Amino acid sequence: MAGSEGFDSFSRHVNPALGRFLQIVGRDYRFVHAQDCTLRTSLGETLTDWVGGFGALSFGHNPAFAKAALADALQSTAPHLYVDALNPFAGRLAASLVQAAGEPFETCFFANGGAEAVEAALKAAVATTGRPKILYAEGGYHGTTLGALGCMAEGLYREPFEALLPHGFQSVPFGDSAALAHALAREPAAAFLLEPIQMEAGVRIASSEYLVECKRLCAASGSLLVFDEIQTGLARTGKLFAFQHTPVQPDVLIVGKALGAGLVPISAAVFATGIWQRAYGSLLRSEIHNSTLGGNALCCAVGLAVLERLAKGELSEQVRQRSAQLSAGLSRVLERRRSVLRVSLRGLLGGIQLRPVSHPWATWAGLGMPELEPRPSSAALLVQRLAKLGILAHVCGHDWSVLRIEPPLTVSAQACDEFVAALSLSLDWLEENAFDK
Amino acid sequence: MPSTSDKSVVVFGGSGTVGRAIVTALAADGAKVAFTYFRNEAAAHALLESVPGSVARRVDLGSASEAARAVVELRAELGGLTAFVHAATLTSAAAEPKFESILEADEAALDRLLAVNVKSAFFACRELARDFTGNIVLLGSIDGAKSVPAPAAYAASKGALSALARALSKELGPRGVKINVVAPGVLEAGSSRSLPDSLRAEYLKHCGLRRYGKVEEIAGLVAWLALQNTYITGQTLVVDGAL
Amino acid sequence: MKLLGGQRALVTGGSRGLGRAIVLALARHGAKVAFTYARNEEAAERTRQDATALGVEVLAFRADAADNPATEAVVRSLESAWDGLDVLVNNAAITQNLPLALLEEEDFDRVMRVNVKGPFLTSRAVLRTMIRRKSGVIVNIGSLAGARMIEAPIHYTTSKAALIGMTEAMAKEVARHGIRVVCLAPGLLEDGLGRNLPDHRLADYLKHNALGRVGTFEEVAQVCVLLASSRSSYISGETLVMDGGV
Repeated sequence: MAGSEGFDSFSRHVNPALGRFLQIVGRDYRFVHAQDCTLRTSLGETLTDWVGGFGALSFGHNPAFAKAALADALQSTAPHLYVDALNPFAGRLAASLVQAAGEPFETCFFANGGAEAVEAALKAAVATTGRPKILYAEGGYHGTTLGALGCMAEGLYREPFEALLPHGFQSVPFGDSAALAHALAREPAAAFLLEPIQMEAGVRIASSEYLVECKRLCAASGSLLVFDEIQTGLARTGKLFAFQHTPVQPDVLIVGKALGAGLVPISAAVFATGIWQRAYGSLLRSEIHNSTLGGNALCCAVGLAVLERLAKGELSEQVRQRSAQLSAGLSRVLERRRSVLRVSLRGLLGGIQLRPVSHPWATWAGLGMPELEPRPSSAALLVQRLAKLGILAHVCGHDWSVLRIEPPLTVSAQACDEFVAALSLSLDWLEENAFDK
Repeated sequence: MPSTSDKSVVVFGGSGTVGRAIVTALAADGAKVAFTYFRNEAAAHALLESVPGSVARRVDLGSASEAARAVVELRAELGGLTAFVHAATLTSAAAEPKFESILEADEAALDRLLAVNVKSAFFACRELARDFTGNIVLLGSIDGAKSVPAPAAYAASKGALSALARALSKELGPRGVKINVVAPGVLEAGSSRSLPDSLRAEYLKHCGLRRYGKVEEIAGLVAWLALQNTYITGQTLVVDGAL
Repeated sequence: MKLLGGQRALVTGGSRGLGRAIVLALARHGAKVAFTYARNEEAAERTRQDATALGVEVLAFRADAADNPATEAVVRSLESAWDGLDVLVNNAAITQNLPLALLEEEDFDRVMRVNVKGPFLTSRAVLRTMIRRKSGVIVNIGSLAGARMIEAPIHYTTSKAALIGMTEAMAKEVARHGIRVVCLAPGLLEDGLGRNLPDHRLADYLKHNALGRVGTFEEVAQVCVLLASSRSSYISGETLVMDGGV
């Protein structure tokens, strides 16, 4: 690829405000090389990736197995696109996916991004039940297209578009099954949508008991229970799907991000038996929800390779081991720290929540960016410190007091140790400079 | 680089030593010049001859209204105005012109000095504030910019020009007017004449370049600021060979 | 009107941005121009070609201006190639948008090294020849930040203020050899080092700017030419701020 023009063009033709913000905060890296968990910039700096493409890079950068599957698929002279026809690639992947997800999952709708799969799930729920109402857990992040946006937490992402959002969407507090019961009693819904672990809200883990209750309430009400496992799925939490940590199977399972190995765009809404048939079972309705590129051969080839890689369960086991190692390390360096409020970790999906800074020079106003007040600055400062130690990290989208932990699942034991060490040094700095004694 | 053709400049005090050099430099840079004189009619005539196409008018810059009228009329005679230069100066507030101490200052003479050095500049700028866009250059002095022995009245009048330039740069900037002061050190000729020999010697000792400035070295800068300057404003440029 | 016909000039950090504009302006005014650059070979080559196309000899040197041996080597090459230098423009500089809380010793050292030590070392190397020949001009590119109190990163501002003191002391010391040293202090420029300003800070700057706009590289380059030329033969030790009236 050519020199710096692409990077400059991004700032001019794609996202000028982001370009400027990255420059201002010194995060305008020009990444030119990436392999597994390491990124390298045009200036030769290397960084370990603890952002992991927000969960898409479960297999690291440029994963060999996925690239091989893609290369193979490219060689094939079979059609790569099947419109209004039997699609063997989508067929194979769907079979693989429903098998991995287990009973009673039966059909899949393939799309090109997580939000699209969410849209498919919501529409199918409405078409199946005939009910014009969707309930969703408050604090979620399901995507920024209008339907998914209707299930977005209050605030920045949602506010300018409020007038466009569907009227029939209603939020209930996350973790509050009584509120769900109350809402369903007032008006039965087509579906209740939530993430088993709300990542952007600050890594809020739904308890098993809560999820069991949600399932019971939805079943009783004839509403579909929809789990968005776009971030939690595909071994991220130490099992193939997060719901497998509980006795609950959702009616609809949404998968994305890592399904394409961070290489290709693919997502899926996986439906329990009968849902898709009831929604779109007639000839006239059979194609009213569709996607031209959804289920294309190249993306499905990668998806198949991903599922094959995960089928043996070795990666899930490795995730559990790293998670235990990380958990022990974090306990060691985070305990009794006055800057840390909470640590959440399930598999390799986690968050460290910091207290608000108390030193005036460490607030956004003190740092020269008053327009970002009254958001927390603590985790962003932690990100800056980690970057100085060669670690690329980020905060949770809805809660800037939480540092996200979401490395490639292939992260090494050594990298985990280095992360813990860097975290400790960074928190030392924070406690010295941003918190009162 | 802006072209200097079709440029016209009004110079107050064009018959003075520095003024003459400024008129000459402006013309050399391609501008049409109209200048004022008061006492030195001979110098004015000589200048008219050495700078073909220039215009001269006798104006008593001690009168604010005459100064203002001069700007209007000379501008009209030139058919437009791209820059205004104020180079008229009185150096002494003593009844008999000299390098005076404050005790030797005389109110009437002080009033006249302030009228020529400051008020005429003020009222000229006031006239221009109506609809002029372009450059204004005022001649100051190190006496008004640095801590050097100087007659208090003269120093105060030159310091006033710096503040005037700063304030007017703000007020007139939005219409595209740039106004600056050039503050020379001791020159080979001109108002430096009245400097006592002892101070001249001190100046040479402390002037980095160990010489007086040439009048042309001031004129060239004034001409640039009048005709080429597009972004410098509100500044006092000290030209003193590293004093 | 070529103000620098036959002159020989060296510009540090001349491959891009303001440095490049200065290189081209000097060339346009008839000077032979040499420039140093830190890293960007492509940009340096582009500038070298564009300046050469103006009809003068142009030399480009990859050298870190704060690296003494490298600087000495460049100056020695120019001594031998051009028999000396008439104009030095100390332009190479860096900045970092860091608030006090995040501004650490290594950041401070880095900025001072490039922005202050660099100009000092380069000036000293060039003055060795200029003083022998009893002529020359040094133009230090400072900043409004170092001359007046405005909001700017502390280490950057310190480094630019240091340049003003350096200009004055150096001017005093070398004036006896007929050499002038001046500082040119621009305010915010189009696409300049200040481009990392958050929107509200830029809006505020423009609000308080009499001419209502940032300066251009070309405007600064023109003033740099003026200060280097014989029109400025009696200016030394002075800092000229060009900021549109902040």
